Amino acid sequence: MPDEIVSVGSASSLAVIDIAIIVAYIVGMQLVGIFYSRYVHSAGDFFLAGKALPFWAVGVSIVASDIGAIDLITGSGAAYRHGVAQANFDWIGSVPAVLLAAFIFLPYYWRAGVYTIPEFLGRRYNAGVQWLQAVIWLAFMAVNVSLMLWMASVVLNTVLGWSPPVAIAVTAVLVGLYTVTGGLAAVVMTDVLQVVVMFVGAGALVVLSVWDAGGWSRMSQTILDQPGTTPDYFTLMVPHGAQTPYPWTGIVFGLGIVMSTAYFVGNQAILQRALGARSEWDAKAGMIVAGFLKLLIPMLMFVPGIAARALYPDLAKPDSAVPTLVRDLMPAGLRGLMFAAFFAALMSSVDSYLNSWTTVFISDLYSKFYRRVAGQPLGDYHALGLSRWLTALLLVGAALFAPVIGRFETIYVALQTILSFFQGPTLAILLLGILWRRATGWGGLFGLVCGVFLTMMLSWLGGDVFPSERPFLFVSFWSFWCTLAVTVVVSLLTKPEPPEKLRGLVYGEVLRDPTAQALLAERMRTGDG
Amino acid sequence: MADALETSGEPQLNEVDWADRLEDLRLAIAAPLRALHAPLDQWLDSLPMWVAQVCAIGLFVVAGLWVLTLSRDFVYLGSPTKSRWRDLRLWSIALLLPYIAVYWWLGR
Repeated sequence: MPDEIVSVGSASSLAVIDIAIIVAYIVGMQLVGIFYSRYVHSAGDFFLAGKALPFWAVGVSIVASDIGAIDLITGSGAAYRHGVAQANFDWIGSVPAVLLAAFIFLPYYWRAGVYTIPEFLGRRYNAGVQWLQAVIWLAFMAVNVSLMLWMASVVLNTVLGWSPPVAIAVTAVLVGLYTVTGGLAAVVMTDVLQVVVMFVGAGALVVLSVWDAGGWSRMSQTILDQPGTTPDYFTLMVPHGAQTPYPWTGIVFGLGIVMSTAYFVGNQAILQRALGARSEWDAKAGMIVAGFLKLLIPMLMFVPGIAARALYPDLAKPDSAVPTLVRDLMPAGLRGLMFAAFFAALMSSVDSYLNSWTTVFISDLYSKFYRRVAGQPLGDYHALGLSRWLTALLLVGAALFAPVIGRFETIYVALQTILSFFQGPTLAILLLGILWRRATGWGGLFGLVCGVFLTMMLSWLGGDVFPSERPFLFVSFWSFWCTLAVTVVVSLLTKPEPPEKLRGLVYGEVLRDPTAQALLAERMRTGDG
Repeated sequence: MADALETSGEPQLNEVDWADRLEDLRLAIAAPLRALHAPLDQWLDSLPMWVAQVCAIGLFVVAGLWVLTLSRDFVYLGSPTKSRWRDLRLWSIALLLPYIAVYWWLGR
């Protein structure tokens, strides 16, 4: 992937104004981040921004964490290949899901005082489910930080001519300064500025590329006249049996119902912003704001890919669509802005994962270990100091590991694949755990294991069972329903959980029962997870 | 040592054997699942594309109707005022309308 970014240009192809814009962007980020570090006085401030984030910051930050530099490149590449159907991932792949997250899951997490998804699963089912989920997420996020640092080094090497070790070190210091000192508040507020930079840079590319292709009507006619273009190129719904990874059945039932919901209610980086909101209303409204912004994302990412198809119909690598447009169409000044947009996308992902990694590590692993060894809950001062040290340590480790990830990207792909095996099954046990009192620890564990096993098996069988060559949408749909069925059957066959264990963990009680609310407040006060 | 060097560039007999067995196993498991899924695929293939558009738009409409059933107290909880513009049900409907328009326009 870095090759595509490299091909945008080199230090010699950038004007002084481009470099000035990039430097101004980096300095601006630091100032904003350091400003918000003044407000961090406790672990709650560090992890959840002292529960003071306004709804607009929550919504914008969710989108910043969601859209990474890789998406800017691969999203437009996929649109170049498959057309408008790629936009489904941001449209139907976000909107019913953000409403479910806003009105079912967030109020529940908010009132139950949950910091992380593994924490809820541990309380509701058992420690095994919690540890499994926590370890998978920790590994994924750590490798993700390494990969992002490597990509940042490639961008800086290209733009400023710095060697990869120097570029990695500088990026780690830049991101680390505000993430270590400012916690979630600094991360979210810098995300807001990063999204503005991304939207302005990518928006300029949209206008220039469509203009150069002769406007929308002429551009679409040019593409439809090209040999090999199917009439489905400009439609969101592609026939079930078509040779595409995105048939309408997979899009509506696999993506619209299962995968998108699993993403918005089960992704720690997304969830953490909403839990840092200043009120339950702001958390819900933040999710809806994210839904509004997601409407614009396909315009910014996929229109350039489609325009590139009209302008360069024979690109050997579709993922080079955006870099080619930037190189050929963007004047001095805007090119620097586009580089800043790439860098913004990288930084917003790195800071989000750093903060979420520390939260999961301390909430789900260290605090349990500490309580068992020391016989008392983890103190607030201890947790804050440890969070900062851990963030810095993770950053150093990720920086040292970055060149290895750069050489062996298969490590990242493998971890991403393993994480995807858990999405449908995790959603199923989350839903049952929240909404159904009768779900038991054994039911959840069996459901999760069977669901993950089925996902792995169906992915292996692939095109021999489903009409699509890459049937991940169908696989997630069936694994969700299989997990749901297994969890229900095993739960009914095992002994019900005692009422005292379920106190404050089932939807109706959490939202309406004042006694359960008092219990939750006490649990939060004493740190008894 | 010499034998090992001579054969190192080619797959060993055992490796080929295992790969073949694994592929046989894959096809054996896939066959009954394919037989189960094939009638569903045939039926879905036969549906006109307006059904796809209706299903996609239906998802948004159902979401909107569900949001409208939420109580006033629930959507305002945590809000400093109960002014009309803070009613998240209205926000949700405003969010869904452009999505419905997009799937109406580009859905088939």
